[in-house]
Amino acid sequence: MSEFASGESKTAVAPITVKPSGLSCETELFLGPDDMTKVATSGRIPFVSTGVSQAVHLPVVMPTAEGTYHVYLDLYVEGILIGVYQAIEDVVIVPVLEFPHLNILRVEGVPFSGVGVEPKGTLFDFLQVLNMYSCANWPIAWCLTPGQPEAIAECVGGAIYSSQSELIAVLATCLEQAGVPYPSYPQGGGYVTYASSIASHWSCDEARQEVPVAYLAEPITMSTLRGISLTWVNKTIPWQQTPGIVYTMWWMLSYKPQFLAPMYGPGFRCLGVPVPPGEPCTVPITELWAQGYSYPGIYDGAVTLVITIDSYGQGLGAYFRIKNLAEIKPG
Amino acid sequence: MEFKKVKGKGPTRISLDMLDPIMVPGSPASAAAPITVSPAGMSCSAELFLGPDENTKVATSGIRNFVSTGAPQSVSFPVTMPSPGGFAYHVYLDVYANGYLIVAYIATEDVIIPSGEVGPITW
Repeated sequence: MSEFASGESKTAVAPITVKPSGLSCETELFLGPDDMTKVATSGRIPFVSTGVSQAVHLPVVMPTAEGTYHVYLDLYVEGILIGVYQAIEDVVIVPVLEFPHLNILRVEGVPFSGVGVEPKGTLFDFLQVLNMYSCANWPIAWCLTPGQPEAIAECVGGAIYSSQSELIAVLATCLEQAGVPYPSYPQGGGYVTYASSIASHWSCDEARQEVPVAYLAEPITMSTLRGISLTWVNKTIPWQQTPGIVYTMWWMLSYKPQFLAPMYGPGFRCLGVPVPPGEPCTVPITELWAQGYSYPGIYDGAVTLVITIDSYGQGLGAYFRIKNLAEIKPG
Repeated sequence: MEFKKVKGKGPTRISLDMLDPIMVPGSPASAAAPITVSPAGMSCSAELFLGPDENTKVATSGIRNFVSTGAPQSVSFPVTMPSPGGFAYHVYLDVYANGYLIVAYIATEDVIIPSGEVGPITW
């Protein structure tokens, strides 16, 4: 079964033999739920029979709607339909991440199982704020001892997306429940004042912002986190041969653990090359540029694309996450 | 599709009205030929057949009977096209009067029975 992205341009090559030679022929390849409904078609492609097999190219733009489609091919000679064929395998249209100037199609050759949005801030990010108050970084009487940041983050949970005041109230309760010594602020307030200090490094509004996300049905198993290849297609990025204008295209991948890991994962990057619109292109985001420890668990990927045109480039980049990107198994 | 006389006396040319010399393998088709046999009142018959030569009948209408009127009359010849395709066949028309072959014709154009085959598609 062939899998393609919605709206992707593909060309089918059909070896067709028509006898006798010298006949004016046409063929049409189309996709649809049945042979009467043409959801996508190549249109009639003309050729002259040679009596032997010849490769006929049939360009098709894949349907936009996700789903499974049968593939049909009609063969005409002198305008008369002489053969109707159906492929033994269907075509499946898979989800893609769509941006104004480009689409993201696949990771490591694997299509996405779904696309959507999720909050920008994660509990792991909030944990890094709490770690600022760990005793290793802030040695005072009510600093957070090992294990307490994780426990407090788990306790706070979804409150990181609420209002600042609600976050402070929940955080204050969680600090007390975690066994943090009573904070003796000169101005009073205790846990509430402590929670306010922590919450000042976190914006609930910003955490609630939605970022595009693509899902992998199964994470890629890795012994240690590594770079990945990404397949994308240019839609409207204006790569032009204009003198004096230099385009750069940086792809950057960082790993975000789904669990409360003590460290960030490594980062990788790749300098892309300009490609014309239409044909999918695969970039290897494999150049290591930020170190990190690899703990067992499942990691999401966060991909940032920065396109620079001279000193500009705003609006042409992209940021998205890939859920369940990688898994490091224990041992 | 025009016919030219191959042998015999009688009508010099019969025009066979055919929609298209391209036919689908195994498909039914009916040819209509305006035939004039004089004098009127004779027991006549005709046969239209396809083949690589006049002695090999790959497809035939069989004998079609009619009575001569001395004027043109349309005689139908239903034929099932040969299968499989991939070949061109000559088209013959024989006309009989009282059981005797009086004239034989061959169409100026062959009937083409195309064949098509599609291999595995690659993307």
